[in-house]
Amino acid sequence: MSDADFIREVEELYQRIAKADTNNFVELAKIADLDIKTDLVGADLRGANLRGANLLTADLFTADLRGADLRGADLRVANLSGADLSEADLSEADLSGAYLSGTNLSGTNLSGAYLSEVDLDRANLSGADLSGTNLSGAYLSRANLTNSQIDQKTVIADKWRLVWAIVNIGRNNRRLTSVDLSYANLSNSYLVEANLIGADLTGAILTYANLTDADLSGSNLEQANLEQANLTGVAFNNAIVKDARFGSNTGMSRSLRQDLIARGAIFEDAPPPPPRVLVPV
Amino acid sequence: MAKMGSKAIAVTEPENRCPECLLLEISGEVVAPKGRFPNRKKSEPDAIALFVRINFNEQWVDFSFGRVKFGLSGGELRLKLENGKMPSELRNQDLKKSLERELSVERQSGGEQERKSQVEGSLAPDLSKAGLKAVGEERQKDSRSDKFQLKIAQISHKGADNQPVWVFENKTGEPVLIGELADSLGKMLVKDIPWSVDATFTPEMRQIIVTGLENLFKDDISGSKLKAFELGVAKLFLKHKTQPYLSRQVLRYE
Repeated sequence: MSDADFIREVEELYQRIAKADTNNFVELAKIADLDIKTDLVGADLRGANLRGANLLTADLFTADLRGADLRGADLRVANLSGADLSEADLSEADLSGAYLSGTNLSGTNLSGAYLSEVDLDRANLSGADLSGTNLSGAYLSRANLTNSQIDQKTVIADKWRLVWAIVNIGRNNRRLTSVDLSYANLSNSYLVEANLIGADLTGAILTYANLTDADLSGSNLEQANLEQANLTGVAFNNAIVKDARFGSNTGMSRSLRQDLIARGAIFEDAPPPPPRVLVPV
Repeated sequence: MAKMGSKAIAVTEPENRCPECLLLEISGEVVAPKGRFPNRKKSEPDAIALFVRINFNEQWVDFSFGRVKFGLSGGELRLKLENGKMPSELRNQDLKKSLERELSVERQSGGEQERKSQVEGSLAPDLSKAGLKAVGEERQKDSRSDKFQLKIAQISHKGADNQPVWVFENKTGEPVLIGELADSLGKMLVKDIPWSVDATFTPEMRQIIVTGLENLFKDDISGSKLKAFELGVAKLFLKHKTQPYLSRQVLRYE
């Protein structure tokens, strides 16, 4: 490249940043003539110091913010979809109205953060610290809450508090009759002998769940995903299973499989071999 | 000039404003005419097979303060067709596969160059960022030896029949795209004469990646200065090198 203007402006940029007496990324971004609202899409901001930053409506789509310091940052209505915020510190940050669909928040410190009306569809919150977090009106469909921490100060809808309890506290014989667990991420949960009669499990993720001897009679499992779940002794009487996905299930008999398929279920694996018939020699 | 009966397809010199990080060339060949259009002479084409050659690589640039290496993690190849159209079904659906093949070839032959970059990166071991880059390159070099384990760039197409677009996204697990794509783009149906194909390649700011730095920010322990500098350089690159395009070539027939 021989573009003189490009060379000159990059050299000026270097001088301005080299002379700057700060390590605050927001201040440095200003020195670099970056528009913090639009120029950080997909940016590598691992470990960046963004403490208290004004990122109102900022577009941080797919940005790499692993381990970033975002304590007290203003992220209202920011687009963090697809961003990686694992191990970042967002304590006391304001994320109300932010778009966090599919965002990686594993191990993220969200204590005291404000996430009212936030879209967290399919977000990974495993291991996140949600103590004192305000999640009122948050959309937590299919969000992974495994090993996350919540406390009495956490503001969260009863439905999602129940989902949190199911995925984090293994207990036999849960009474979940007619409860709304639609679009809940219950992957790997322990639901042995659970009473789920009439429960709404529409679109729920039950992959790898242990449902041994659970009663799913009359439940709605439409579009639910039960692949790899342990279904030993499970009752599906009158359950709606249209477009529910099964596959590689422990305890799935050939006859139950055929019955579920006839009722609209989808199987992702090959059918088990037919039972052996012993022939006298 | 490619000959086409008595006439020829005029090809402009390719404009590549960062020729080492992206080299774009397109060409066209007449598909046997069928005389479908009554107003046209039989010798004139009704379809053109379009070919592309794109070479992705990294490019060092010298500044008074040190050197910076650039690469691209993606971008858009846009064709603007005058009196021509390329419906979706006539576009090459296997472009992705061919990039995979060509990337493998590049990796087999690119070892020397990569080794050099690695040594350059380690010249400044006290620089936190430079050190990280050097490690990254080492990892990259390791992965190149196992070419079959690499994922490939994702190439999808979109756009209207007269403005088809191929979108390149880096799915290789490496910072930038490196390799050559040389394949058919598909077939363009000619509606009338004159026709032209105006091909441009343009990345977004997020796809301009600084992959190497020398002698920069020795005291920047937090890395914030480097991050701001890298983004600032990408923005300046976008301003000076990609407006309105990074690379361009035009085919024309009159």
